[in-house]
Amino acid sequence: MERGLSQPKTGVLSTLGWLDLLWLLSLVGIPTMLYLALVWAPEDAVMAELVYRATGVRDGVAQRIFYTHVPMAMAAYISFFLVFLGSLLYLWRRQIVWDIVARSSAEVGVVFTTLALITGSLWGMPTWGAPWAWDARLTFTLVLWLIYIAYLMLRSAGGGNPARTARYAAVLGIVGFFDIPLIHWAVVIIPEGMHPFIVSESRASLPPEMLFTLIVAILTFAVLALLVIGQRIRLELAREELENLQVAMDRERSAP
Amino acid sequence: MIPHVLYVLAAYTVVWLVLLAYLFTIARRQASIRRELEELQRTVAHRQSPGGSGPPASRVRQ
Repeated sequence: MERGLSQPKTGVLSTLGWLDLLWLLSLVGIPTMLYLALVWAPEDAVMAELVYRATGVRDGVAQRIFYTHVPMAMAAYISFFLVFLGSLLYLWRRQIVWDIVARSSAEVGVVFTTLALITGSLWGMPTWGAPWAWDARLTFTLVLWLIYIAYLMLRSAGGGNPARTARYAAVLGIVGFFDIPLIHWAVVIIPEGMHPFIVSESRASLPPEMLFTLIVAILTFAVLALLVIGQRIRLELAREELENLQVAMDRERSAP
Repeated sequence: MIPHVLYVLAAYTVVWLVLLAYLFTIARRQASIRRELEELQRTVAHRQSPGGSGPPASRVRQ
């Protein structure tokens, strides 16, 4: 094939009927999550104490940012896991559909990481008195964001050989994913950072209402991330179909 | 000093505005590609019609 990539083998992804289910789950999950996070969950006394020490004001309301900040990070992890998986499968099978999964997920992952960094800064201002600190987890998250910005730049720069670009991007997509365990374990390896280790394997250090709200929020944003990725994949498949049709028509025109 | 509730408001507003804007741009790009696809399919159909000058469908859609 002229473009250097195999034809899309859409298979399971061709129907994308599961997107309707994700839309439905989001429509239920979003208002539920907002109610739990902004109204139902109690304000955290520990966080209020931290705020008091940093700013002299006893106000625990800023802790509610936590229910959007943590799920943003989780949604980014899910997206980058799909980049990792899509990249591995692309390198193994050389089917463009896996490349489409990887590049669609990368864009969505960057959006969620950006939001995690912004909400983190907005939480940091009232809690630490500063929007940014060179805390280990924050720094590794910034590195993750930069890696996948580089991935998207590589994709958009492209060059004349799409197969080679897809191959290089797949390698970057796989290597970049290894930053995520570093982010996760940063609070264990370097405990003097700003981020507390709130949920361990043996016990949760959050009160039950807060833990329940956090779980609902994480599930809601996970569904939302999969929904957005599904829409991006659908867009890329349509674009691929359009380009194939244009190539076929150009070939017909130039045929004697 | 900024009331802390404003930080909460800002965080939730930014998240939902950015996500809605992103979904909107995806929908717009999808609509644009769908339009182009339909246009191309019309061209192909025209070329295959008895008065058209194009090759049969089996040759165009490879």
